Amino acid sequence: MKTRGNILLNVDWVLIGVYLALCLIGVLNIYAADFNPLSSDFFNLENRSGKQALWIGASLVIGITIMSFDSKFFKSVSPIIFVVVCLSQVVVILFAEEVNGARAWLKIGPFKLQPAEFSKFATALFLSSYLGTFLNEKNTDEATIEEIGKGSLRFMKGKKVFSLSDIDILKQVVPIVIVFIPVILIMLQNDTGTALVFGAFFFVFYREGVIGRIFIIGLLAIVLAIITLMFDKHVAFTALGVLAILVYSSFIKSTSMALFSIGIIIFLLFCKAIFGWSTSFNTYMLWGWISINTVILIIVPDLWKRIERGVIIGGLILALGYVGIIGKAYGVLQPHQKERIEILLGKKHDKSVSFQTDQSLNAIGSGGISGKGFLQGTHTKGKWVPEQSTDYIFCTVGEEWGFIGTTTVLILFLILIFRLIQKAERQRSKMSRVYGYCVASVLFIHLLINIGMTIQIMPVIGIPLPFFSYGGSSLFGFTALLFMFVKFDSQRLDIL
Amino acid sequence: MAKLESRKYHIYLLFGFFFIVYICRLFYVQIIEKEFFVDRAKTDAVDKVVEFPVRGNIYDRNGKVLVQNEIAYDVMLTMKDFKVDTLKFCALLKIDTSEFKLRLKKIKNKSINKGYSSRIPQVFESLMKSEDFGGIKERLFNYKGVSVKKRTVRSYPRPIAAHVLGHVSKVGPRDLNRDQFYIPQDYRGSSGLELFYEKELRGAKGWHHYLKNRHGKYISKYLNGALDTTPRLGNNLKSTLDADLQEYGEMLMTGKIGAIVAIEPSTGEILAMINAPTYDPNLLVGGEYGTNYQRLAKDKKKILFPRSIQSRQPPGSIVKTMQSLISLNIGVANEYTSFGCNKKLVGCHDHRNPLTLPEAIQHSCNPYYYNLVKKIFFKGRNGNMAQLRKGMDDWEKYVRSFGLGNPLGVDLYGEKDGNVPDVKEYDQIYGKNRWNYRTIYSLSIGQGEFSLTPIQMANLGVILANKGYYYTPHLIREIGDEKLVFSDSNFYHKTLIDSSHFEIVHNGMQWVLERPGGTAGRSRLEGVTICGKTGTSQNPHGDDHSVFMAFAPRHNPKIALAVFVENAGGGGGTAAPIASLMIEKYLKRKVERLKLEQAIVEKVFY
Repeated sequence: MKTRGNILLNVDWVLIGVYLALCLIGVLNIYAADFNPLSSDFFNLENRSGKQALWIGASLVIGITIMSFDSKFFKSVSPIIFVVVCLSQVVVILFAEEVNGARAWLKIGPFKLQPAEFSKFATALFLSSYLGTFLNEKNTDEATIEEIGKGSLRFMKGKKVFSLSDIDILKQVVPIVIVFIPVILIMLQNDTGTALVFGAFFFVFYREGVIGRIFIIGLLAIVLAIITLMFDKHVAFTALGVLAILVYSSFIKSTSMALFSIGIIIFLLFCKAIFGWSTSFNTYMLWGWISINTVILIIVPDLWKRIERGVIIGGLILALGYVGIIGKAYGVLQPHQKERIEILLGKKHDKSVSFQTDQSLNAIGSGGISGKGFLQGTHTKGKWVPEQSTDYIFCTVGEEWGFIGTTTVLILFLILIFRLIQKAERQRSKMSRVYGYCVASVLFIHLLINIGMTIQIMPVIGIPLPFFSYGGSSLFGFTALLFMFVKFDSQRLDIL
Repeated sequence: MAKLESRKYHIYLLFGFFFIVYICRLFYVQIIEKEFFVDRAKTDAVDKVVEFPVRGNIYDRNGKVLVQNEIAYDVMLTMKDFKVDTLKFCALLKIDTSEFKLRLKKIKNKSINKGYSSRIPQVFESLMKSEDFGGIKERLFNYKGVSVKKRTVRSYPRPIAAHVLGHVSKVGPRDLNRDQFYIPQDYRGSSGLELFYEKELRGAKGWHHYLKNRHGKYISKYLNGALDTTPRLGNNLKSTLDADLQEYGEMLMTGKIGAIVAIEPSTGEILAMINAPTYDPNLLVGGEYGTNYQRLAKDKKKILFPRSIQSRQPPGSIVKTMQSLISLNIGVANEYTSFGCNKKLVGCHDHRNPLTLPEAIQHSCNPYYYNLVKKIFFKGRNGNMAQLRKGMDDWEKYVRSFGLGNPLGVDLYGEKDGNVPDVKEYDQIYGKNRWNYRTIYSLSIGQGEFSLTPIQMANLGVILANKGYYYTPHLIREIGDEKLVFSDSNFYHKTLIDSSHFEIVHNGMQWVLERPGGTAGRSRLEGVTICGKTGTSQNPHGDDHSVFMAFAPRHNPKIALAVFVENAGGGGGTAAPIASLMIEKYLKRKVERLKLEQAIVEKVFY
């Protein structure tokens, strides 16, 4: 076995290069978003660009520090880090002042830290170290995979969620608990956006053996929730009935059939997203989809026969129940959250509420192909988009650098995330692999929600764009998250 | 094993799918729908601010200012910031609180004030004169939300020619719909030359583009001012009017209702156009426009009525000159043709009898023209209806060639046509062929259905002076630096009368003033040969109107004019001396007959 060589040679420079590129593009756009003609010095610490530059410097120090420890050290201290981060959040919840309705900031001298930004890192590290330990106990990959296969079958009978079949119930629940502790703590800080990000760990569980159908059902649940909110109850009910029959039948035989049907509705939903949610062919779209499904039911040989009457009734009951539950759940939401959702789905137009997202889209759309030029964005200069250097930093890219700029940034992120998955798959140690997936998924969810929000595909959920948005805490958090994987990767030849 | 590891492809696929969706969305927003968002971004972030152009001045023919501009101030309120002690504020602007409340209501009413926004300054008091504004300026600026916009208003150094110059007023919804040039704060010419030459006078607005932030504050020039334009001044107009003559004419017409039009025969340039009673054009300027306009419009003397181009009146005996020319031209009479003065046919005054043609002009003998025009119509076939109809048609052609019966085409809107009676009209009134010369003879002496506007009367003088032709009368000779050309065929009009016939008529017209028994004997002017003709326009509603048409000097005429004074009786009494004084003023630049002048000024006919 090859031992640890020169650490610099084993470092993945692609990841670091993309990271630096994103940070630099980010700080340039922060400079533009926060531009003040009276004090236009880039490095002036009064300006956000100056501060962000300082945070980038500090992040590099954090990165180098992480790189200089041994991976095994982190593995052993991961529970401590997790506990410390969780405790600091408890402190925040109990003692911090409220800012914009959230108790999320910890004051240390002149600095303000947001512990929630570090809990993604701490959770990923602790979760992967836990799963890594457990899976290593089984010693070989093959054995594990078989177990996972069995687990899946058992789930079908409604028994188990994980492939960790030989371990006792308590241990199976542990990974879920690890994820839910920070989620609950963050919810208590009134920071729903950051809590949502923890949904990213679902991708990790999927990769590590959660049954595929759970995944499909999860996806379905989201799609159906959107449909229920978008349409009248009776329309949604019909759709759900048809869908339920399909899903049941697919469980008997044809998974691909179910995927195909769901695929169509997802495709239609995203077509709508691309052209704007508020365009009004909602009902046609849905009935179109229902007819496609009906045709499938009729033309696929034997599909109809295989479905028992009980299944149909069961499907309808399930649909009824689901519509009711979504309706109830929706009723619990706070008025401003309801409004955001309704505006996004095109059910409601309220100039005052949609002001932010409209201005964001105006800024991005008016950038055109090549943008208005650095420091030339009229919306950026006029500070038309609130929170433009933090959550809405992508508007600056869109307005001043145009389609070329936005796709460049997206592609850089795509390179980063795909590289992370590719590298994760190459890890010999389970822990590194799980961790790699954690990083990729967290970055992906951030990207999906943040950019989706600026281009009106997603509802307004205030979370930062990784490496881009102004703010020390989030930059430190993401840097630690990424560099830890770079560290693991540089030691991938050692078995952890 | 392979099964679980293959899940990485699911994840690649899912992540990749979302990236593609997002890039498609960006493509749609930034490339396909770009224009839509560019427009929306512009409406939000870019403010177009207008800089009003200065309207062109109007000068008289000698370069004296008739209309110029003066700075005035619009007091603007930004409602969002505006908080004051109402009483004090009202006292400062000299309005009462109910007026104050009414104005605020109007400002905030979006159906009246379409572009209303509480962040944008709104006009509260418009066009305050600088002398009023100066006194309250300091105190006004102490109030929050009060700002001031500099505008210009018209000002008239000499209060003359009000009807001709016209006035400007705020644009209305119709103007805004009809002409993209206007914006709601604009003023436009709404009568007289201001209206006719609006496009020349108004210039072009300057636009400044400012970048605005979310709170409505200007942060910089948009695109460094690349789209900005400076306003282009309106063109100055050089008028044909002679300010001194105009002023003098207006003075002579004090206390009278009527009009004077004086034209330079060789060019058609209008030297003076007086409408009486007149008003000080400075009244229809700025803040007091509304109240003053109402007052003038309601006046029983119809002060705003531009009589010189719109008042249609029987011309009276001045048409006898034209009847003489027609008879000479078609050969039914010559210089020595004479008719007895038979007062049974039509009323006349006492004079020598019988008269030759020029003498008939001198004495304005009515029966003479009864017979002469009868001859024109019947050409010797008296009583033949068919001949009468044909003769009248011929006569009508001649008359229309004098520019009568249609507007002359002066550069003012609203010029009226006057009326030349014809066969058709008489058929309508009396029934086909149910009339004869006895029914219609009054047109021979310029009464009855026959009507002319004062400018047509003056133009008759021009035709006589020019011996047969005229140029379309006009008021403007230069726009900006460009001299207008009025000599081409559109503006040159020739009558059907041969120029050789004019001397005979001129003789008669000269005798009107110079020979004993001439109807305007008292209006002779020493050293200048005036040719003129008196007229009495019969008025069924009251005293007859006094008319005089003349040109002078007889050889190489410099001025032709018509004076029309309502309810002033015979032409010789009032209109002729006024015309004579006007001629003296114009040709000698100084009037020496002060007693006559005073006597005229003191005459009051209303």
